[in-house]
Amino acid sequence: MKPITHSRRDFLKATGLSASGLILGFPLQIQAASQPGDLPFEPNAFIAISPETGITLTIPVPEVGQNTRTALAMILADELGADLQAVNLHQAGPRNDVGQQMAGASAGLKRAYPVLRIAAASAREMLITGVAKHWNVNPDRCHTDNSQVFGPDGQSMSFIEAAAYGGNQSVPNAPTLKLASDFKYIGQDIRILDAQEIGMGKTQFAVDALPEGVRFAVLLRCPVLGGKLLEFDAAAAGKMRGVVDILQVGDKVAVTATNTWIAMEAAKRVRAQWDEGEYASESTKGILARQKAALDNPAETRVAQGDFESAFATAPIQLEQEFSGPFLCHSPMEPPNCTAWFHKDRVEIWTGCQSLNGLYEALPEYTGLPHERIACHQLRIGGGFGRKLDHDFIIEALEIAKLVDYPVKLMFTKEDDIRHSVYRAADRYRYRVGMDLNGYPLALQEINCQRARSWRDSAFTRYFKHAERKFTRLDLPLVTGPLRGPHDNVSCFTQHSMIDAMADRAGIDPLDFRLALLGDQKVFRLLGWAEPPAEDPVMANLVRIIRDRSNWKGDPSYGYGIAYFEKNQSKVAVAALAPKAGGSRPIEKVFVALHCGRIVNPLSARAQMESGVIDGLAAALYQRIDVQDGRVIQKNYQDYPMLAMPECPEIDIFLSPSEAEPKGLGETAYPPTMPATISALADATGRRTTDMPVFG
Amino acid sequence: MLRFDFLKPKFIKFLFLRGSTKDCRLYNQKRERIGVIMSSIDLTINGNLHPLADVDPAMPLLWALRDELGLTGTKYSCGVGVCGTCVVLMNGQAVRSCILPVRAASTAEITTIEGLSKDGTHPVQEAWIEEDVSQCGYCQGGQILSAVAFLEQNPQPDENSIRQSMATNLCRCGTYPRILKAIQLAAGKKTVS
Ligand code: FES
Ligand code: FES
Repeated sequence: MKPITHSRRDFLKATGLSASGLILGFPLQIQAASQPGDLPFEPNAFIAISPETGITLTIPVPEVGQNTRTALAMILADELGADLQAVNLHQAGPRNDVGQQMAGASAGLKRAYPVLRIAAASAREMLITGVAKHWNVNPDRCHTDNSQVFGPDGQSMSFIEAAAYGGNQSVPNAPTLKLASDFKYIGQDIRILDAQEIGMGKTQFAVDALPEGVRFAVLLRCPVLGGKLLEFDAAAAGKMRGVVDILQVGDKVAVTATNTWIAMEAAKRVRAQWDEGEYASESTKGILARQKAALDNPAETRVAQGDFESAFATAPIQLEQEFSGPFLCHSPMEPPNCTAWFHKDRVEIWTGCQSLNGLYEALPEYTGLPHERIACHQLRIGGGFGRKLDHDFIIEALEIAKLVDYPVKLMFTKEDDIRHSVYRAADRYRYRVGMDLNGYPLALQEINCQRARSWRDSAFTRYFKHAERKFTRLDLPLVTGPLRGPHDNVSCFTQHSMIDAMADRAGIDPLDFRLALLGDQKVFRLLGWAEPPAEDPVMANLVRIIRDRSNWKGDPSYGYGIAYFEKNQSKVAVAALAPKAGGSRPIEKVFVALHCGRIVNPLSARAQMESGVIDGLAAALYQRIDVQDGRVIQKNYQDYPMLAMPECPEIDIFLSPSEAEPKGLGETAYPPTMPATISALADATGRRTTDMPVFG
Repeated sequence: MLRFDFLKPKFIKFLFLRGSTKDCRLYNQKRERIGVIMSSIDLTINGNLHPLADVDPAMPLLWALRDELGLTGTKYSCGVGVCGTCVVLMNGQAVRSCILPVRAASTAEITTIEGLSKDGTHPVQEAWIEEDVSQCGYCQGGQILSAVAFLEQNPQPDENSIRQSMATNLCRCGTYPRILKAIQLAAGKKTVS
């Protein structure tokens, strides 16, 4: 994997910048499968240094608030020797030459870190080589700092000037990376670089694109998934001043108007009749009945190890329990939206999409135009959480825009957003667990109602020699997709609830029980276990840290709950404390311990932990999407609540130091917060919630 | 200033639709608009006068700001007054522009997040940077303006009153711990200066 000097023209075309200086493109993703020599040319981010661009880093990954922009700028600044404040950031749109462009799976920084370092180190060496030649000095005696190259005899030259000399040097084969001890920024608390603009309302989000002559659109969609439009009456809506067009778009009706409000008001006056189709009689209750039936007769066995049936049959302690999670929707503060403009023979798009690779590939199909005729601007995303991985809102905007000759901004109202989302699938898990009299885990059966993932992904099955996993994939009346920690944000709750049930039955403290499961020598011996069910010293350590920081069970006025979670080698343990006396905050304190390799920016890592905890609390306590007559019932924040400030707990965060490469962390705190919360409330009140949410 | 402007006959391209689902546009019929009384309204925003012609006085201020005047710092989220994303200051009070009819704003001084300070140096804006509050940033304009109005009335608030006063300013990213700290910091700064 080697950075490649980009042809200046390509770069300029690619980024819309004009430059004369040093330009470096590099792949932001190492493809593990290929040999280094075989790698196609896949530059993924660009470093440009020139009088025109200053020091510019092109950011390939969408920004949804995970603050990848600041982290990448920090990495660049450190390896290059640039002043962080001098780094300009340029957001890339969807492209085919920039590797991975997804804000999801907490993967952005993990992928970018090693590659960006090599690229920035290459740029540094090129600047030094070029300038050293010019000064006629030994390049080994030069160094960079504060966006300048320094020579052995006190010479100095700014990067901008040096770029003219560095730009035509060959790209080094194996640039020397800096030692961690020489980092100025990586590992420090660095504030979000976009903070001032955001605080002044200057930042352009997707929804803020207002091309000349734009009209504002909302769509009337069938409230039931897959319904067909039979007919509609737009007479009343059409009389409203400011309405521009009322158009049928497939099975939807679009209203365009001179502003969003008129479009929203007019859409309310459109009378549409639908053939509601096969899901019209679906309800939350009906789904529950189907789930129960599916658990009784699972269609498929995904994996099995050992012999569950006989191990369970002979186990001295047998437990059977069910837990469930409802549908959830992401409901980002910025509802899905997209602006599109078909000119005569080309199209221009403004949006905030979390999955730009997929978008790039699909745009010719969506637009009917080749890539050369598509300009897609990626703007900051006002929250995604997985909702904007889907392209439905982009496709819809394009469908409307194709029918008119003006730019159209399609807006999801909050009601549209909640009722036409890509939902976290409702799921229900049934466990049968066998233990010996000391609580040692013997046999596990896990059955659920969505596709089960492999053993590899399950932190639970590893504790059992005899285990099997069965599932039925239920057809659901809502579109489902990823939400923050996809797949795991139900199972983390169900599995940890089951672990608590096991501990409870065996009369073991839930934290000690987990330490024993994870192989803590002292604890599993004390419990009379011959060997640990698994060995995970890193996780065990996080649990001990949480035990100490939370003063576990040290204050009788609180109920305590604990859970942990692992994703892509990032590990996190969470404890929640629920006041027994009640009060305004169901959970008063939360403790988080995170292990995720080197933490590039601890300040923003903490923000991600806080975010996951607060989101997890809202999911555990309040959030559910229900279906009645095939329709989503909830419609806005009143009935699909977010956690609000009065209920926000104190959050204590421990980031464990590590020299390992950074791992993702954006999704880690959300799943374990749910079981920790529910266990804490169970400990405080004596009543355990088996079906999320607690209040609902 | 509110001037009534009775139904200026104005034809806008208008498609009237009813019928089969096969066609995209069935027929296009020019019709005279009837119904609401449209007005011209002058808004004073961030110290500047913005005349708005031909506007429904019942339209919420939010859409006048965003769609008519291009002041996009004020954001839409819930549209029903429960999230606080759209907060602006009206004569120094925090109001929810998504439910404030534009007519009610016509005689007031409106401050949007763009106009809070020239250079981002309002003590609350500075405190927001200091405490590294923003994540996605979408709700933050409304949060900052709500905090500004609150601190005007309560220069030395305790934690509980901050929490209560911000109770209906939602942040989907969960920046509350830092919002709390930033408001405390801004309050502290104020008392020092
Ligand atoms: S958009 Fe106005 S309060 Fe939510
Ligand atoms: S910072 Fe994203 S909604 Fe508040």
